[in-house]
Amino acid sequence: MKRISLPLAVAVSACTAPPDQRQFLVDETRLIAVTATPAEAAPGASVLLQAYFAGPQGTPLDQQTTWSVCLAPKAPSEDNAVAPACLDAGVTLIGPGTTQHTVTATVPADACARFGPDTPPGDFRPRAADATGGYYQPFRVDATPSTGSALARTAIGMARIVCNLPSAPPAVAQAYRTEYRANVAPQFALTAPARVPRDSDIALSASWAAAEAESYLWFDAAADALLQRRESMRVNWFVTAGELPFDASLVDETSAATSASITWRAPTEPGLVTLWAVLRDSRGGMAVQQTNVVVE
Amino acid sequence: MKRTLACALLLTPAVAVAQSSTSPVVPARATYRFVGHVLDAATKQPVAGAVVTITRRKVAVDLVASDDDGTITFAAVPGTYQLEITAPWLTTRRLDVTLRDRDVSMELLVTDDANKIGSEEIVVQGVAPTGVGRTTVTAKLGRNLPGGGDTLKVVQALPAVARPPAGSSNLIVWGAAPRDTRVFVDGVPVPALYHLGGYRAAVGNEAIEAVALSPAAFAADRGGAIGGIIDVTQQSAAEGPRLVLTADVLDVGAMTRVRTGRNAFSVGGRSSVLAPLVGSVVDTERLGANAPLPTWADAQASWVRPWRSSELRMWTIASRDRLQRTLPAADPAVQTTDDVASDMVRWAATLRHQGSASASELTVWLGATDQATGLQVGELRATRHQRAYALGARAVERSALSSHFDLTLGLDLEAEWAQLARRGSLSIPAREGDPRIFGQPPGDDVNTDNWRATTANAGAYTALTIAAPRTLAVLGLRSETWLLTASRATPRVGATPTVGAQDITTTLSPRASVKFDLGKLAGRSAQLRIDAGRYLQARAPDDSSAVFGTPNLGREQAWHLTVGAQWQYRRVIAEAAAYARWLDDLVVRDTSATPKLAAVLTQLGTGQVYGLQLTARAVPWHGLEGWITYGVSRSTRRDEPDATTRFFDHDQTHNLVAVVGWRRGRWSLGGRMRLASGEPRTSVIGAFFDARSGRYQPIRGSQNDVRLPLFFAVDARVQRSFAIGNGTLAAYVELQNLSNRANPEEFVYSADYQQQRYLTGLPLLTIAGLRWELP
Repeated sequence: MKRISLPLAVAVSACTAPPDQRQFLVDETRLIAVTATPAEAAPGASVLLQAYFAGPQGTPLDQQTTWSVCLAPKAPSEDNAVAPACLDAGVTLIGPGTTQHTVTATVPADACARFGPDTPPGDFRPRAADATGGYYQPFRVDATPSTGSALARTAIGMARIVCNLPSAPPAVAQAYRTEYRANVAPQFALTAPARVPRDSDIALSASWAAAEAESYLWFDAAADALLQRRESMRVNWFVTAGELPFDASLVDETSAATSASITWRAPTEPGLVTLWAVLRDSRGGMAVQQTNVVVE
Repeated sequence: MKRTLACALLLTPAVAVAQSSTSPVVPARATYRFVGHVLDAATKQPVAGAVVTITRRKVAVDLVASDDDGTITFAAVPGTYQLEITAPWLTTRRLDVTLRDRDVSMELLVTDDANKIGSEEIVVQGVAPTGVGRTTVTAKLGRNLPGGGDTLKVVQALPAVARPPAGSSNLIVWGAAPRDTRVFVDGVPVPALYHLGGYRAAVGNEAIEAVALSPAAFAADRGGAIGGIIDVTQQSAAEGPRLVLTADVLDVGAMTRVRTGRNAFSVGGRSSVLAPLVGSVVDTERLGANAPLPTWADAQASWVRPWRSSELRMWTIASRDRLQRTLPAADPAVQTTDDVASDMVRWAATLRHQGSASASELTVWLGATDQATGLQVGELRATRHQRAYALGARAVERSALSSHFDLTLGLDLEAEWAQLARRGSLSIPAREGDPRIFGQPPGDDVNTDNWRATTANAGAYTALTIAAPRTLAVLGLRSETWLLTASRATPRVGATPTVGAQDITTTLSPRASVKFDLGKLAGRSAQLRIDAGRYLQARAPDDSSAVFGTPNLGREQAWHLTVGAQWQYRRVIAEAAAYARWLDDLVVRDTSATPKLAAVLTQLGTGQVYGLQLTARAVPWHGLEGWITYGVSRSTRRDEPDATTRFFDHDQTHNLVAVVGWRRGRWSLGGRMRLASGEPRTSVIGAFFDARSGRYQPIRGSQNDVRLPLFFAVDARVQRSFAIGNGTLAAYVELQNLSNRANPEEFVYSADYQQQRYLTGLPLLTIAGLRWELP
């Protein structure tokens, strides 16, 4: 057999990159979080909902909110968080929010039937839980005036609801009812220097107590068993100026870390910069911290 | 001498497409081969480009053209055939050829006709229209066309095939969904024609003899598809070069053939090199979502032994695909990791027997597939694993009833046992009809199921061929008994005993084909062909889950109607084909917010496909051949009776393709031009902020209400051969997307859905490679 050399010519280019996916820069007013307190509530219970805005000049003061409760469940294969009707007429008005963008709402008594695993008579399919075994009652908040763009207009906030465990042996379901501890929204601190030199790299940090990443009971459907898992924590970072290398930091459930940090490149122009951090636990709890930094 | 008409129909797969008496398990070489050498009577030089019409009982059954070396080849069961050799510069010659019990090789001497040289036209009598829309491409032509030298890649540029998106291995044939079209290798079904990413075919290039596409209304010998049929014919171990080595930027491969006595063996394989090569020049994490870099390998082996009037052949093919990639994101919650592992093996044995007035064949095959996919978006992971074992058998017997009637009887048995496991969102993977927005993370619902599914089909078919002057009709009937089972009729709840679902149904599928000789039309011979039939395919095993699907799903069905006409003008054969499909009982999602238990899929889907296709094919002439085809089609779906009709996800209104190959001496050139409408997509008309995920989500417009822009690309290929010792080294360079046009392949959005851009396909791409052959 003859030996041959194989000169290969290669000219390969990459496909074009998608548009910017970065969200850290607050260059127009936008909603960045909607919290529910308590973070997990039983049907019929009251929850305090609060919307958080961010704007180029810090927290905008001109925003007013209108709150609605969504009553339309989504189809099982819907990728969006809510059914299209929740963005249209499938809501019931709760009322305007306070100047702090809060409202007290009642989780509908039938929330576990509309958004949870309870099914009406007649062999219907129970809704699937999220990866932590949770179900959520959606609330809609509409903001006015919408400054700059549509980004601040509509948001969906969720209150995790306490429901039964479907598709589990009775003993497991009973154990779950008695041992499961509802989620509590995490608390955390945002650390940043008060004054920084322009065009410098600044370490920002979000830290929380170890107990804030709660352990919780989770039903493993494959094994028909209850397992203890730990919440993962995700921090979304926002700044009104400067550069961040990424939008969010993740501490997954296997990590014992109690903080997340990021390096912020301060802007080249002096001025006041507002920074926000939104901490979300994997069971739907969240908290917001804000701080101002003077760039010199 | 009483001969069967079915024998005549075996002459060519092209004619056979719509006639139930032909079977892909009886490829042309199954019978005796006629090799003719068209030579100039005066100079004894080969005559290329002569058109040879093969006729039996005044019915034209095949049309071939002589190669550069003057060779024509066809295979047939014994019988007497009339050959008519024509060319614009030749005196038409007619002669009879009789095949008895062995291959025949003979010289076909022709003479120039001085009166014809420079004349306007030549009329070829009795050119039989091939099956409507059917196209056959030999490996010889396929390797000469752009496609990385891969014969089967040419399928993507065939008439009736919609342009596939970059990085896709899907085949959209006349508006049918990818899984509606089945791929057969020597009559044995295989799960996919291409390796992952669509760069290469799943069957080694050197093992291929030809590929044929029947886009609709195929014969009664085939079932299990409501779209089209792709038949891949492997080259016999007794034919072809002894050793072939190949290497290019995609993969490296080898194929060897050994003949000892009456036995012939072949062994070959390929392994990809694309991923490491690309990784050495670019950062693979910068590649678009539509540019996967998989690794693949495939292997083929065969053995053939003829004795007396029979032939035994065994072969096996295997393929392996892997993909692991990460699409980084600024937010770890949307960082996506993809991993795919897919293995496939098929083994088959075929015994063919040739009698004096009949032909019979028996094929048994076994197969196994193992596919595992994982998709992780942020912390959410969806997995799917399917391991399936399959077996089947085919038997066919053809016999003559009289001089005008011929009967074919066949059995077609197939069974597959699949073990499946899935975990994750229902919307992974997306189904046809999902209003999906490219780049949007899937839902965060988590479902899990482990189940088994059986899909068995016992088919028996018969076809009566009726030959009459100027008309040939084939009336077929396929009876199938389906056994569809799922191990769970309802989702598993604790230790509740498993209750399965089972469906046993017998169906009848009539198929018919009628061919009329219209005589002269506008001064040229013309024929009309009409094919119609009912087609059924079982639900996918994936869809039989009590959690992710519906266990008691049955069959999807379609009615096909095709009408085709064909004319020949000089060296160009023009075809017009009109087609329609009416699809029913399609498996679609239950769009209600609260579906019934174990019923997230329904069979309420319907669809309609209408289209017209115009094709002009160049008969090989002085090494030049190719085709140009334009198709206009409309493929729509309705997901439930009250739903709005929408465009099929892969609908392509216009599709213009021109393909040309030319060989002269040591040089060969190939070119391909593609112009196609963009696929429909669902528009984004707004966005809202999902506070729990911290991401914006799209507000969708009407489903499939916008289209991607037009696609246009020109590809070229040049190859030069060098004689090195006893072997031949061929070096080729291929330029894909010569105009470097940034063809939009998808709409992509910014994280807040306020900006829309296009994800574009591959830019100008150069592929170079070598092929060394020892005859």
